Amino acid sequence: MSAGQETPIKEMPTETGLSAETQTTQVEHEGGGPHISLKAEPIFHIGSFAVTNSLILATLILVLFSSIAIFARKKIKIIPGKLQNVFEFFLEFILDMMDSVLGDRRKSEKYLPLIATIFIFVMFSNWFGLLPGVGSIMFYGEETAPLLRAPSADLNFTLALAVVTVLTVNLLGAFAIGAFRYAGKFLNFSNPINFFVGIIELVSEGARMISFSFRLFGNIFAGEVLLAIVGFLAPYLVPLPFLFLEVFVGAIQALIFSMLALVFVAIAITDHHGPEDAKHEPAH
Amino acid sequence: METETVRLLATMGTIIIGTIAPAVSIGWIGSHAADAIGRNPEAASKVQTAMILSAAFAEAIAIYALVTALIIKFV
Amino acid sequence: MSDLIHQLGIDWRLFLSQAANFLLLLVVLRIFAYKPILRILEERRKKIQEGLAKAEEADQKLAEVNVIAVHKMKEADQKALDMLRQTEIKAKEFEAELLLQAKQKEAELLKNAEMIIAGKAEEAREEIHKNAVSFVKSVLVKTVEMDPKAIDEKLIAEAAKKKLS
Repeated sequence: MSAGQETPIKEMPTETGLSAETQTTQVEHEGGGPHISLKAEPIFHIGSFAVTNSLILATLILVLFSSIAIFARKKIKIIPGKLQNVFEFFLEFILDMMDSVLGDRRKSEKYLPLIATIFIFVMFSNWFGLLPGVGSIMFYGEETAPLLRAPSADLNFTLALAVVTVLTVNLLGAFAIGAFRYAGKFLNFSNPINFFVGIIELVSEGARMISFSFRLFGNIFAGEVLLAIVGFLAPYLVPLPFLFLEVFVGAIQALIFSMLALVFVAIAITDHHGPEDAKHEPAH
Repeated sequence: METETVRLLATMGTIIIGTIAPAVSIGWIGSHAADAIGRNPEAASKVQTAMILSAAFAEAIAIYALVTALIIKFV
Repeated sequence: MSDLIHQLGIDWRLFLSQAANFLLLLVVLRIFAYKPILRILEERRKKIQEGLAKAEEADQKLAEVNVIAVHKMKEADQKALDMLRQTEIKAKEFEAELLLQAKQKEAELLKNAEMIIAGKAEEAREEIHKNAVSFVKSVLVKTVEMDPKAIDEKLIAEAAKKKLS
């Protein structure tokens, strides 16, 4: 997928005779091709810390939602306003979904913050990448790069989300059934088979992080590439169905991310002996 | 063949072969889930949960293929 | 491996700042959105429950009151009927009394009238008697005067006179 980015870098120096380092970014725009980059580009530096465009957008989303929450807090009433109504509807939707997995409203309310925040953050990270201007407004600093980039199209963001989610799920499991009992799921010396199963469980936690992060990253990044290329080939009206598709994919990916986190929470908080019970347990 | 060419071909092959099985299995999962819901609409939420879970596990294979392809490409 | 990580743009500082972003959002939303909203939802549910319970209670009370009202109405009807009946009875009694009194008075009046009539009759008889005596006397006197020989008769008349007085 970065082939389009790599080839000009290699070809240009031979044609123009300039060094690759200075020409890399210019080439992409002079050639008129879509700007595709696998990683988020740094926009400015704080000390040695390079602030990337996706971090900027993620922080913007954080500030937006925090300020809405803080300013709307005083307006929360028994008789809901418009914003509160929308938010309540959304929470009821999430709670119903959680009820179907956890089977208990109190448990749902207990784990609501994690699941709902994942849903909101991921969904709006996906959608903000589709806003006009994001990815198309260029910033000509030390490197020419889009000023904003969808956070979900940056592996740092998805990996951070995945790691935090998996760690939180394990912590919740440890709180729910006791740290010692929970550790017994991974380190079990009762017999060799159980020990091996424990090792596999441990590996699967790592695999979960990888699949969580690369699923989201792959879907959203592929969507961005798709939109960029379709927009490059036929700039008017043709990208519209693809835009709809990406809006849908963004919501679905957020739902899948939070649903999987929810299912893992449900598995982690049930006291069990084998993975078979756990898969049936949350469905009740 | 140059190393670079082989690498590109290997990347391509990995992602092509690695996505066939998940594609088929996700289609399979979806069709059977639709069957199950059609037969017993009351169990829709349970079926949905199981469906999303297994679809995600099937998709994980494609993701591992993607990771492998990236590793082949860049390492 | 480090090449791959570099190519994918993974940087531990970026990673940590993204994680911090997420955790911050989680905390802020938990404090400022989820908790108050959940509390409000709970409150609303309670209020609705209370309202429903109150409505049911009110309905029940209304039904009770209705029953009582019907009962009272019946009682009142009964009382009114009783009163009517009693007044009727009293009226009848009163009527009977009045009748009795009227009869008594009538009887008294009749008696009085009879007595008066009897008195008058006596008087009339006495007068007739007197008239008859004087008539007889005058007749006697006349006859004596006309027949001087009838001294004996004069004696007899005297005797009669004596007897009468």
